Amino acid sequence: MLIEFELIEKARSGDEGAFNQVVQAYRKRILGTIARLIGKPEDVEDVGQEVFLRLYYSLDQLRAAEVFEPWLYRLTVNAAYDYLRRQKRRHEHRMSDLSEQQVMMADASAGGKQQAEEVRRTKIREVVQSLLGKVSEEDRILLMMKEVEGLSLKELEKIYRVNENALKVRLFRARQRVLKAFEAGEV
Amino acid sequence: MEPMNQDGVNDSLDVLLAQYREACPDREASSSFMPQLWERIEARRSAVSSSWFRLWAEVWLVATVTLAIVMGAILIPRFQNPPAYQASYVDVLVAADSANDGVVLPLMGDSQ
Repeated sequence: MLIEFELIEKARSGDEGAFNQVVQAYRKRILGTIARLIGKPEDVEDVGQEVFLRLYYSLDQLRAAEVFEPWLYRLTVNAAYDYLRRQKRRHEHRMSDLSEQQVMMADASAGGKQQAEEVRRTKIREVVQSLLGKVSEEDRILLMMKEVEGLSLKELEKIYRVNENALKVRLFRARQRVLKAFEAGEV
Repeated sequence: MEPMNQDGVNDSLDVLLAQYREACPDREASSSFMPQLWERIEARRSAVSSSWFRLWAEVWLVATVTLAIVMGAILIPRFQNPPAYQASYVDVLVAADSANDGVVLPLMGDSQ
């Protein structure tokens, strides 16, 4: 854990400085996770703020230090899921966003080699986001948390509050769906 | 993409996801992250407190209306009933006197 539980207790009692410290300790990690889950750089901070907003108003429900990180990840997963659902309803086109992102990245890159590396990374992000766009939000987030974030089944159990066997089945099915799209060369 | 065997596809997917992790490193927040977060916290807090105030106001309104209805149900029939006595106070005294006519009350000391 990146912080002491006393800090959380202080934040829970209304100490704004303590809450700021909690946010500062975790925001880099959480923003990274959100970026990988939603694939839209421009919305990452908005979703990240939603996560910490939910944390602020749910701190009083937290009872033990060891559940803090799964709790925070659960809030992250839920916020990302809500975001993806909203995006799906709005029927936004991911490819146009990626093009914009590509332009921004290319502008930001100074040297040719650096630019080439950034183009390669952008291409990878594009391929993976397109691939994950073929499966449901639930499958996408679960698979990312396991395969990309590298969380163990035990950690996922605490986040999803389902037993290991159920998780294994869901993960297997999610991976099969992604594999099917990958194999079919839909990306 | 050319068809691959299952293991090959699995491995390729693993490699792709690992590359994706590398291509999306953890990121620093912008300088406006914390101020915007606190703005949202305050906005939610004021929304919550105003909704509490609204709830309290509604509870008091309902209680007041209920009390008014109950009091009306109790008091209005009482006002509508005819008064128990139609006669005036003097009439009542006269009636009482006439009822006592012919009755001789014993005086103190008569028994002696």
